[in-house]
Amino acid sequence: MSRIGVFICHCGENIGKTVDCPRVAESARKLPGVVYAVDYRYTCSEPGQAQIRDAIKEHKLTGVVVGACSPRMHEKTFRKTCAAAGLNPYLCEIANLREQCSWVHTDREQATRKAIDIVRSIVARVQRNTPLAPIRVPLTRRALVIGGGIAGIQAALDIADGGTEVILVERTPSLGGHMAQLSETFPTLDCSQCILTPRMVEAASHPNIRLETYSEVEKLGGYVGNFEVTIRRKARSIDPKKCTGCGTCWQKCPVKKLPSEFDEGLGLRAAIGIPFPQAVPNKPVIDRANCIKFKNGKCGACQKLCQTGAVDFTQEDEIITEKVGAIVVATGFQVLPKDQLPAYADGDHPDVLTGLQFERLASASGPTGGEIRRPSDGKEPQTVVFVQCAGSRDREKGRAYCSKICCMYTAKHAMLYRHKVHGGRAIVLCMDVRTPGKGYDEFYRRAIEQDGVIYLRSRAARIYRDNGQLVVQAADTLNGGERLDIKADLVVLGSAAIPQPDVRTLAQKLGVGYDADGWLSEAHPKLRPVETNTAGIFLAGACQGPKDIPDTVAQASAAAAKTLALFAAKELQRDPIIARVNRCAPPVFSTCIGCFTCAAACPYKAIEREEIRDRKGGLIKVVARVNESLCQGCGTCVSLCRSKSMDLDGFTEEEVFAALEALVE
Amino acid sequence: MTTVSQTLANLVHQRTGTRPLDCYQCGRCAAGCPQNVPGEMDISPTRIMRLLQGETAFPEKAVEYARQALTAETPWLCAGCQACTTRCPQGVDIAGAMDVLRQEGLKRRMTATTKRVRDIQALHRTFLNSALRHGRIHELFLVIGYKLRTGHLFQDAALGPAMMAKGKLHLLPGKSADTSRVKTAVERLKTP
Repeated sequence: MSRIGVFICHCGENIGKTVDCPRVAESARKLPGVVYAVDYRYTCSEPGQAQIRDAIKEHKLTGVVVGACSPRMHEKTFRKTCAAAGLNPYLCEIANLREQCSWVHTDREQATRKAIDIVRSIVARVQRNTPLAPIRVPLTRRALVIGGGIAGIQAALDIADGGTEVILVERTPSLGGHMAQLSETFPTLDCSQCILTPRMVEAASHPNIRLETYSEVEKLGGYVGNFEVTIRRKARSIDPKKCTGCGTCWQKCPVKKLPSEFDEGLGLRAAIGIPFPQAVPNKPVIDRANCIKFKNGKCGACQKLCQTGAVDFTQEDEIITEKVGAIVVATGFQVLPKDQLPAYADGDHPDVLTGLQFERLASASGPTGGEIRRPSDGKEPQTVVFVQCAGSRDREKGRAYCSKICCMYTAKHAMLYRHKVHGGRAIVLCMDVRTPGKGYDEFYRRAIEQDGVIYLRSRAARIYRDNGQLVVQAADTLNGGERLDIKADLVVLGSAAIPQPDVRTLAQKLGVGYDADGWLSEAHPKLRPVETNTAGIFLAGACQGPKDIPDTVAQASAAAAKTLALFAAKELQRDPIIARVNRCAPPVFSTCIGCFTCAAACPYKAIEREEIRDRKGGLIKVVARVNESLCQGCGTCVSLCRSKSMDLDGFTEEEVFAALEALVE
Repeated sequence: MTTVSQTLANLVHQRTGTRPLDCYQCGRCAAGCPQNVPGEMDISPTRIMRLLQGETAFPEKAVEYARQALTAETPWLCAGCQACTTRCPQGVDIAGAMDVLRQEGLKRRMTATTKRVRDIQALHRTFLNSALRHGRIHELFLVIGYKLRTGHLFQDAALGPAMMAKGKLHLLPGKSADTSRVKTAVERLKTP
């Protein structure tokens, strides 16, 4: 006869407010097999856990039911508690009284009755639970970092410094990401490239880091500790071993007037080349869509002029597969394109710039060499209007979230402009100014108090053209709020940060979650900010949400620490929730008939063939067998098996049906 | 750029050593001002600061913003208690700015013209006349001067006998010990 202990948690008021916990405990006490039941304010606290441990010893419990929050939250906690008291952890089950009961109901009587039902159901299930042992799996001590911006570089360097091999995959031809495009960085105004390029070089030359630039992740298989990743190396049309990065090819390329992605369309580039002079690796790529050779077979100037014979028009994409144990996703963000803001000069005026475009304009390495000249006619703008919340905090037409970085970069932009154009007027339109961060508010006040930037509290209603003159419709709501139509020579938008447009595809490949906006989801917003819900995959930087450089670097280092902690284990243990093909006495051996419907359906390729032979080696039958390290316990095979020969450890049909039957009683 | 040097904001800077530009519109001055209550100040001290900022930020609207600040009742209703100046997180001397606005308003003949502002101005004038003439305040002359200027002939008249009995009102003005020194000081005040 089983001896079950039931522990009902109030979760402060979360459960206790809607569910009469003492009554639930009392009714549990009367259930067959239950020898102990109690309610407590916070069962997950140390005294609460001690209650469980003491009860296991005192009442010789053979099973534990905790009526509390979702098993996602604390199943691990309570199973550990049981293990500490000598009870097999898989004999502990959670009755979800919070997410599935108190949080979704308001009627106390009905919620209490439902809680009693849930507890009865789980008690019935636990009586049929069997002790299980965790599965040990081997571990590949090698990390994959996806994304070569500052987040990816930082994570890769930290992991590599920890003595672990890293593959750093970047889809553009060079490391650097958005940070390489920035002019100066708040709040210290140090030059972005000056602090970034040494890190790029360091990453490229680190003995533990293997760079895969101009490459993308195609596919991911496996699981924590044992991922198998497929990477597509896109054809550079250059042999990097021969190329010396001399630059002859891009100087001689006749196609020179292509808009430069690195300069956000404000500068020009050739059909062959590196994205920016400090690119790492310093090896060009041919833009096949615009190269004359690839369009009509003529030209080939680069090939003729290359002294080392590095140009190879026949190169093809290469697919490689690698084994890695952990993955850091650091794919970053994009800036909202201005064509998505039709109210602002129809979203296509050359003198209305995105925040990132202004970075290039103000950058010493930019198309104007750092001089502030407007794109339309190259004149120095005398009045620049900075429009904050361009696409952010606009639930109706844009994005409801705050992009977090714009207040600070706008203050920096306005400041840089005033440093470069002394007589110029910098007007910032804002709803409010958000500057949490070390030295941030001081920086923003400096823009006003020392550099004479004018802040007006209002959103720009519209930007229109009046005989070629840009006019920004604004108001100073702190001064009566009457309309001010400001004639602007240049408008800079505090463009919203948005997720990479194709991030959902990547997330689906990797099996990590994302929110409605497209930011990748962390496992817990406070306590597990760098982990995803897929074990072994971590997040770094703005792919998880808009972030400035200090926060990005901190998160990247945190992801590296998580990776190294994972690699510090000798081997991994995982929950033994796996499918199993039954075995029985001869002459049947197993009820499996070897149809292998399961093998076709298994998403993890975990079904193998097993030959059952007699002593002399003669084949008796072929049955299915589940590979323990590949099986993820999804149960697809169990539901498809025609001969009912499959069962899922931890969720056996007997356990599940017992739980259901108890509900019907 | 003569207009710039004459902005009210610049005058406040010159005379108080603090800048309205530094104000970040937190509203603490307005929140703690005993006169910024219904029926008293027409616009808040915070708003006065914003007008002085607008005067600098938008030269094309400077005249209008200055007019709004000068013709508000607020500078005249300010009691000069200094609560705002004491509390300002940015160290702006708001009460000092009110002084500047009163002085400039009279100088430019651009002040609020409501009855109560005129009364307040009358009190200031009578008070100063008495002080300048006698080197000290003579209460009876002050009362009479104020009543003649404002026409509030019987306001608080019942308090007169009681004050007289307590020796708070004297029929004849006293004189300070050395009026010539007072005169020199007054002359020095008049020449900036």
